[in-house]
Amino acid sequence: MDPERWHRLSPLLDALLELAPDQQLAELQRLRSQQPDLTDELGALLALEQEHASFLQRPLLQAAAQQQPGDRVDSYRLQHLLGEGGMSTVWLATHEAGTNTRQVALKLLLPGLVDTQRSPGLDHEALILSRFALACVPRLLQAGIAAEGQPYLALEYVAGLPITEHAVRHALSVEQRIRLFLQACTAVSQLHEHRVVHRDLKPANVLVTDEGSVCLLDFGIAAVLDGSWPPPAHADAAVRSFTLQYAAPEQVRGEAPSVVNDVYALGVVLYELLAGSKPYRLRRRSDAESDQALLAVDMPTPSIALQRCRQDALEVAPSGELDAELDAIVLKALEKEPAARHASVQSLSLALTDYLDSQPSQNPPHLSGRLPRSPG
Amino acid sequence: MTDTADITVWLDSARNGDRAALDHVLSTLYHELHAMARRQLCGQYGHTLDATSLVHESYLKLLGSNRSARFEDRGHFFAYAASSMRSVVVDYARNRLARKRGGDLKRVAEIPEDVEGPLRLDEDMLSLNDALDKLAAADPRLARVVEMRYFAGLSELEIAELLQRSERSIRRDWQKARLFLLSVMSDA
Repeated sequence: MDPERWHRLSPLLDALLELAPDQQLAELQRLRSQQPDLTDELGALLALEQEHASFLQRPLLQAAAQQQPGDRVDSYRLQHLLGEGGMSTVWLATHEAGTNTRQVALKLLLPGLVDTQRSPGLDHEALILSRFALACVPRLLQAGIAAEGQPYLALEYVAGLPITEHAVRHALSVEQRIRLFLQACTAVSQLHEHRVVHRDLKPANVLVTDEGSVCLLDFGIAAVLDGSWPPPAHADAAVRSFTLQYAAPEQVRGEAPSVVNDVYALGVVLYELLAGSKPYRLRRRSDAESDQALLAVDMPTPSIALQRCRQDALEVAPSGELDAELDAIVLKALEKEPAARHASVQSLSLALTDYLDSQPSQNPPHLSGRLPRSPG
Repeated sequence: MTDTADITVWLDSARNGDRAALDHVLSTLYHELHAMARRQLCGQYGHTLDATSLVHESYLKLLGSNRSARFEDRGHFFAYAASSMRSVVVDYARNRLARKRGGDLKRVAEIPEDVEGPLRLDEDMLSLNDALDKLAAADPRLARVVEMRYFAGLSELEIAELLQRSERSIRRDWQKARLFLLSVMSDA
């Protein structure tokens, strides 16, 4: 079929395909008098479609069965979707065993993504989680493969909000935000003591419970620093799932994991908490350009970003002021050169604690939930 | 840790006829694309992710270290991804066929036959590929819809949203594309 002929047939097909089959025949009869050379071919094309109704109808790859609320996975009943990433979905689910029921966070790896015989991605996360028992990390309750070959992890369910949303929801001041952030630092430091680097820290993975304690989620791409076993290639490099805006430049470049990866990501979270916006705004249209932004361009200081945020009258901005000293602490965490950052999460914590201690005391946080909003 | 297990390595192995690598590449791309499409089109609950960073993140994964491609918008990105899925499958089929003809039967015997699918991953796939090339020459818009629907498995609704066209016009393109391909393939 040459292009020229197709361009004559195409509009006629548009008209014919609008019609019911019996009307198509009538239309073909009518066309026969006007365009006799094309009519036979049109008739043949329409007949072809009827003969080969299933041709290409099924995509080359079948869509993975989408789980629905109410579905069962082993002894778990899915309630609703909590989150979704490139590699997995996380559901609030009920564990049904006899008369006992309990709520869990059920992480389902998308079937087909990895070898379900071995499910290295889940094994990896399960192995990481089995290295420590920390109050700030939901416990792994069960890892298994359901009847349909669906690999899953059942984790303790923690209700809470991403740290940035918690701060906005409770209208936390600058000082309160720093104190909350220090809790996150403590949690990440504990991981590091166990030689585990999280590598995917971002507000959605740093949860604050209603009681105000911080919980770290999602160890799908975490790494162990002592090299006691190699992280699975699948979970790591082939399906690099970090979130670009929070990933350290060396992590984007695929360099070896290190605790300063987490220092950087925490720096982005702190920036966002204090300034009300992310350090880099990825623009649409030019991905290559924004890639450069992350690797090369300098960002506004948090205090300048906060001014802009206030000018835009965004409600995410904290009450209180930022100063040059605080700016410097945040920007040091965000240094592109890993060696120029705070050497550890603990030293970032120390810098922030010193900073708070050096501030003239206003309202001790235990006496008042909120600092008075400063004028302007 | 080096980046040796990058998706590009899998891609190369798949193109060279490694069935396990093909499965890996396709399922990775497939799930990535579908997760992206869902997140973009069904509204966000993740609140911290925006469409740009999603596209960017997956684009990095898709291209690995080769960052030369640029995308004008998400429609282009998905079209490109669908097209690369097609090229991987076709290269795989071509290699497999070459082996069969070259008498490397032992290797061929190790490759599982896809008895389920309506199209076999050899001659059938190559003749579909040739027909698609002809379609692209006559009407590139229709060829793109075929890639997105058949090779990337996106629904008509998803394609419509991604290309910012109506679902009805996508369905019409799909119908016409099938007719074109059927006609070319039955002539051959």
